[in-house]
Amino acid sequence: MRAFWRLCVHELCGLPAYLLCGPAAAAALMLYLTVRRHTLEPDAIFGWAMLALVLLDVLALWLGASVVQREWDSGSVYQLLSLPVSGHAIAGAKLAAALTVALVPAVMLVLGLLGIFWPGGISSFAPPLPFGVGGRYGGPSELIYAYFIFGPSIAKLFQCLNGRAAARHRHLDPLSPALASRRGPYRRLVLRLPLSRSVRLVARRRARSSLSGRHHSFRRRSHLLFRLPASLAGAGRPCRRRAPFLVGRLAFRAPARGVN
Amino acid sequence: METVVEVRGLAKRFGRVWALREVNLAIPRGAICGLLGVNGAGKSTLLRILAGVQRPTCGEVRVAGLPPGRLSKARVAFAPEIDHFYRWMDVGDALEFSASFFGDFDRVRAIELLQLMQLRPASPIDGLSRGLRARLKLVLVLARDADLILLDEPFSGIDPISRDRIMEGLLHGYRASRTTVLLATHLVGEAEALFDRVVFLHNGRVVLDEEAEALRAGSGRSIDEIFREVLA
Repeated sequence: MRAFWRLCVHELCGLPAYLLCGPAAAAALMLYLTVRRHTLEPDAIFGWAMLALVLLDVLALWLGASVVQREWDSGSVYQLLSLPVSGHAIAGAKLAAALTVALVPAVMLVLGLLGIFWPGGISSFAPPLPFGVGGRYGGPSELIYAYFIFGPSIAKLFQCLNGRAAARHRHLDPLSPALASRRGPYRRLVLRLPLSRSVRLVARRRARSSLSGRHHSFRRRSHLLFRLPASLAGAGRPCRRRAPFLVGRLAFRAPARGVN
Repeated sequence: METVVEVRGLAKRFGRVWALREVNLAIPRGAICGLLGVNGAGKSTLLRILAGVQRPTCGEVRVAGLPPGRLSKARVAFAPEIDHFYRWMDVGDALEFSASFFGDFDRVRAIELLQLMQLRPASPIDGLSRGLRARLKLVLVLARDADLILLDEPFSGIDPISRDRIMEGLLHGYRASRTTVLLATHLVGEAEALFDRVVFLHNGRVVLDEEAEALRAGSGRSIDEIFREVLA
């Protein structure tokens, strides 16, 4: 158990930006809602706060998975796997750290909501449709909500289309180590295409990183818009091992007690 | 003589490729053993299995009498070939991280080794060169009082002068100690003075496993020359 806590602390030390940004964003949101509480409708305030809570949950899942993915990519997972602790403890500590990152601003939000609504009680303001799906409320919250609801489907569709394009230009795509070794022809080809300077720079960087064992597919910049929902749908990185698989591998494939 | 590493019928398969096949080894306590072979021979895989980082496909492995796992990891110090540091740490953090998990970590020796390797505790790992990170890897491993030290290409990226100094340190520090060192390297000529024993791996199989001195005396040649002849 002590090892588990030490690992948790170690993981949290590696996420200082998230630890600071989450509460800061929650505090900013609560400040905004407190200042506007007389002009905003109560269910809109509630909707905003609930949306933030949902986003924080998503952030925790995404963060936990991406931390594990990053460990495998950078090789630092070997340092963890050679520690005298079980794989379950390692994976559990990572997820616990990610949950803590999400939990701190979530608690702040809940406490803030209580502070705003305390005189009347929260239940009396609970809307029948919290995000105004019926069109009662327009604005950024609905957009963000729709982004997360429909984003994965759009991303899947986009990836199918993109996959067809990639199939046509297979020679451009250094997905496999064998193709990644062809840096020269790939780079020359990309540089001949009528692409903008920034796209060329990205392509050049990816060609270089493909040599170092990180395989990236060649994608347009617009794909960035779909990265977050795509990663939620498991569609964003076609050429890399999936984060849940890596978490499972961390937890179950490292020998915990003995193999013989 | 007490055996620290015992391997019987070990095999490891990655997909369709057999990285190790029918490996049998017995390494006595206190020996400095060179694990030699060309690229893809299975050296790193064998070290990772002994370190408990990877599972074997079949076969039996015992490290200090224990199967590879949580208990054996506490008695094994492993330095993989790749950079496995957290980039947000500094040198002192890396030492503290190791010290907090391994009871046999000697902080005094770690400070001495840092001075020997010309590293400062306040230096951020992200700012270290490849050679300095290789030195730090060695510090973290050699500061432990482990039963078995596994070094995978420990000298890659380190300049020849520092390399000689480290090898000299290894020679004096571990020649007569109870710690067993298993060292995989391509620098056979430079490291051969260290070896008490050598194991040649080729295509995942052990092709030679002998005392270094007996091998030299028997053939009248250096280990480097024998290595080139056997694995050519």
